[in-house]
Amino acid sequence: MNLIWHDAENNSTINQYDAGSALTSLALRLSLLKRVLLAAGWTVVASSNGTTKVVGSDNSGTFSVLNSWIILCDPAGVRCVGFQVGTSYKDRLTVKYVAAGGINTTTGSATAMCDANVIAENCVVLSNRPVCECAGYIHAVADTTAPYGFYLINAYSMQSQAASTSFCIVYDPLTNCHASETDPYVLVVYTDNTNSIVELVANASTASMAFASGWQFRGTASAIFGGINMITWRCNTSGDENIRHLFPKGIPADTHRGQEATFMPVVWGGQKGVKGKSTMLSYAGSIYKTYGTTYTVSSTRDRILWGGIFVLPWVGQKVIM
Amino acid sequence: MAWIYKLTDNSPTLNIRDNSTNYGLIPTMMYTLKECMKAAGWTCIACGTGTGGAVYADDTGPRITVTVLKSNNYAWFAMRAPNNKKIIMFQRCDYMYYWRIRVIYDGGINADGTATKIPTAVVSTNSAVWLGGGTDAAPTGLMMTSAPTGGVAHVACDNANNYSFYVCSYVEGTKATIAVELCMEALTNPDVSDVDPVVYLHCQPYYGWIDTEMTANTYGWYKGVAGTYVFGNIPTATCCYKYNTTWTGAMGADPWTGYDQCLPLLYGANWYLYGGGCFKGWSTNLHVIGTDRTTGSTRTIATTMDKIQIQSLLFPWDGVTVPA
Repeated sequence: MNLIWHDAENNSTINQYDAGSALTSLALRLSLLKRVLLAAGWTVVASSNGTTKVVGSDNSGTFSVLNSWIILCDPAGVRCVGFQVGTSYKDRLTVKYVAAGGINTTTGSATAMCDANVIAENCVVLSNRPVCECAGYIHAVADTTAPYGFYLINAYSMQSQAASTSFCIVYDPLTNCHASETDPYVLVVYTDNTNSIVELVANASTASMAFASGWQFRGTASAIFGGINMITWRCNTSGDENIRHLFPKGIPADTHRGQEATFMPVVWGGQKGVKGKSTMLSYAGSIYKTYGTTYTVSSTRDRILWGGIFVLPWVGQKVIM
Repeated sequence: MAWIYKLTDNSPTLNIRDNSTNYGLIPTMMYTLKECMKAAGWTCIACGTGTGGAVYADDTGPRITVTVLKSNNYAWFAMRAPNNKKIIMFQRCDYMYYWRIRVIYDGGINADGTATKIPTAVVSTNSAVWLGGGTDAAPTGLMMTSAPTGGVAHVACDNANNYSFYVCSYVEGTKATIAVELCMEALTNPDVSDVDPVVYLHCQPYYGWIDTEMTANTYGWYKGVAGTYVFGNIPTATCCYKYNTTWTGAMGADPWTGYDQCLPLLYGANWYLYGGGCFKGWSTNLHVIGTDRTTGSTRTIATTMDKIQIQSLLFPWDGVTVPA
């Protein structure tokens, strides 16, 4: 993994402050993420500034115009992800995912993203979804090496523990998948603020504003693209969240190594089985610390805490909160 | 490098039955466990034949027979693992179905046992009572099963990988009166510094989901916040989807292969429950299966009939023999 962040135009993707505005927050986030992805080797398939569709180059600008969109393809030229701001409101987000077969650039328009060449691959992760415009700091990184994971996370500044976690987009390559798995990825798009992020993300498709999506049993008669759950490990049926689970929340300290926290990779799956193990998200053993807390696990500041409970790979930099 | 299911004397370990007397199955299965452990490389380094008997430094003969275990209060035997470190001492108490077990992860035992009293550990802090209560001088046992008559038991022992073993029983075709009398489970991905990377399980009598029951009945050494090892409850965590919905019995078959889906268990000491704790490891041998079936069914997971289903749990199985 070679995570990079991109610092250009005086808009650092590390410690980028978002003042919080229904008119500008989503545009700022998408702009930052786009720059990071392009710096990491992603290419533009097609884009629009809301009035003019362009194939093969970036016309999405700063996403400040309604309907602006962009579809990016990973450095391997295989998987595509598209982002679009709202049709009537600038704080509405649409995300599209195409796992294989590429994009039919003859489709789409200035106000609508292109479709996949294979219609069955045209997966809409969420459509015109309201986005929390909470003020706070944004952190965005992308892996320049296969399998090209990336994320953008955001939360209230000085956020304490899990309270009021807000926006994230996490493109999560998986390991330990079934030998027959053809798309070992999960795309998490979380659009609101909450103080119970685990429950919402873990609940996936049944929650109102938390989405982890991906293919399950692709290539079989049971194949479906939709909500993917975070698998948790319950050791007790108590109603007290603190004692219900080993992961998350149940094992704060790693007493074997004398470290202050125990991490375990998130396992993704659905009702019908496991999809795989996350390379981007780990559970911290317990809810504690503020957003932006960094950890040194293998190298200096190589992990960052988000949502009070999730630990992601980090680039060694200090963060400002 | 394999699980031992059959003994050289051809006495059955796969389908053990003993209806000669109420609870006769228990001493029979404990005798069989002893012999199965020997076949897997363990050594019986001491035993006592109970009230009216004597103490010995071996089990030649053997000295501890089914008859001894059925009739002699406080008979015991001490088994040493092939790594020459771990010692487990099994003792019948005042009924043939009440047993007490002490485990020692390293350091050996003293030569102070008697016909009715197990030896002490050389390093007392390396020793803990897994099952039962009282003291070595006045032991009290725990009931091993709730089924007085009928049923079938299985015994198996791994001759590698920390020498896991299990003893379980049930009345065929039912999900009640299931017991996992004993299971020592070697762990996958334990911490490299773990002094005893196994958990010890006793689970009976059983009337609910067995994986839930296991939460309170799994033990082992964990490293507490003080930096010292403590023997205590290592809750068994089963996987849930949608945050708090149990997966047991809900996963069904793998659409790619058509085989049952199953998942390992996670063991760890929960901080909030126990005031300290750590991640202990993943189960190696036990799995939770995604389809609930009648206890005693065999399952094909990796190779033909390589697991047997005890309610929602899968145990290693020999691949050919079906409980009759």
